[in-house]
Amino acid sequence: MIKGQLSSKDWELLSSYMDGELNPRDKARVEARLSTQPEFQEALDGLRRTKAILRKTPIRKVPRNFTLRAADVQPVKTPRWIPTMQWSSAAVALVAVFLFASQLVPGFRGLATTASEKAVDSEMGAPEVAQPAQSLAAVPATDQATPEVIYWGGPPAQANGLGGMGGGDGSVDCGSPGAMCGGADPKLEVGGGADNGETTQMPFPQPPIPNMLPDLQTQPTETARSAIAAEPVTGTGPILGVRPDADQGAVLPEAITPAESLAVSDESEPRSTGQLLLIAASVLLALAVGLMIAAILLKRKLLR
Amino acid sequence: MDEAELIHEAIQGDLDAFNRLVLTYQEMAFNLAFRMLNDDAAAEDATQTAFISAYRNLRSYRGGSFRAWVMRMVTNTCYDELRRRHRRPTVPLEPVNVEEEEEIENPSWLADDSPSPEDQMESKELEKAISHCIQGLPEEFRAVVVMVDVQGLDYAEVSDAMGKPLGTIKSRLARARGRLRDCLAGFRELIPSFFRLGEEVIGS
Repeated sequence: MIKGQLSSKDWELLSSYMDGELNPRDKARVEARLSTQPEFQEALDGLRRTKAILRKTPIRKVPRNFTLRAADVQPVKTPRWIPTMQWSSAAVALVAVFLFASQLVPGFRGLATTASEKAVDSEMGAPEVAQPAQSLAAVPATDQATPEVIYWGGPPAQANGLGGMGGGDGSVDCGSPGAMCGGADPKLEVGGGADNGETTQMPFPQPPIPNMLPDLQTQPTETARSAIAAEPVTGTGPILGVRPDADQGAVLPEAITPAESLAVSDESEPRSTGQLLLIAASVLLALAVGLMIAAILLKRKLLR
Repeated sequence: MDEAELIHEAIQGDLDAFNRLVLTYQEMAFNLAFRMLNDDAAAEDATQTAFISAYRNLRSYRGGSFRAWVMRMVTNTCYDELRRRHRRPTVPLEPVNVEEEEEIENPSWLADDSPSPEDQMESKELEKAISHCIQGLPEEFRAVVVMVDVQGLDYAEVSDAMGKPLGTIKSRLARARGRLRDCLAGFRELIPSFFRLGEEVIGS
């Protein structure tokens, strides 16, 4: 009945009043209500009765003395691996933060991605498409600007000086059907097909084709395969593919310059690498938190 | 040597000085631990652990009531033990009172087999009733009401011991007293003289 009439604040005031813990203003207010509200007085009586009973709680005698011996308070030797775990956790957390920052902070990104890409590439192996691009990147810029031309079964080849790797030495009969000739550049020693002296510099740039990767990976058609089987191979250059009859002898628009292939690899690489880095950073962060919690729990357990 | 000097010596590493402080406060510490844990053995362990912890952390004592600081060590140790119990609950070994269909609160059947005089009976009943009601309180209420109403600490000391603001202590104490009042009212028939004593307190 009293419970319903008094608020929890009223009970708090009465409890503190009983212990003499109210300031003079609150004390005066409580006393005014005590004189006018019987339920207030009744509540106070109930609290006093309770306190009086609690005061009579028997005091238990101690079963023994709790004085300490020197052995009880020997400094606890923390095993070495606990601080090691703590420092490892901090280090892993730093690496994780760096990786996160490298992906999220724009200024940080270019710097960190280049370094991290190399690391990821060296560990995981570069994607197949990227490999030729990187190897071609070693060729001087002047040569990179020259479009690669691949001939199959057409008129005598026009080597452009770059060509495929490890081509002929200039004495190869590039006119033979079934052989592919690239240009040999003795100065650069990068190989390639034969340069029969009639080489003309092909004007660069065919407009880049947005998605040329699938074409690079396209398998030779049945027609081409049969052509390969029918025609003896006399050249020494690599066979890169067979075009349909109508296309033979034509400049291949799909030919990729080193610069283009680099661009392709640049488009596809950072995205996947970035995702890998974010995943790695998340894993590292989780590891750091785990290590720290484990170290704290173990330390607490040992010091208890 | 007064308490301040003993504390100073103890901080310097004097174990004897610290043990003199232990002897002063061990009863209060043990009783608080017992009321918190309601188990003699656990209270004994908690008290010992609390004093070891107090000695190791003496440098963190920043003045003020030393007994409040010691009580803080005890309450923290008891909270750790209570948390451990929650994680790994155990089945008590005490027999079950079939008539009341509840566990007997105190293992008096283990502690003391000697026949009790009648005048001690009511005291035992009172302790049983108080233990029962205190154990029914939430842990944070329990510590406050034991320190204030059983051990006589003032609000500021309890605030220090609990590491809580004064307002929180007042609120918890009022709510704990309200619950205890309702709980103890159920024991009026078992401990009538203590309720008479309560009436006398009110009348005085």
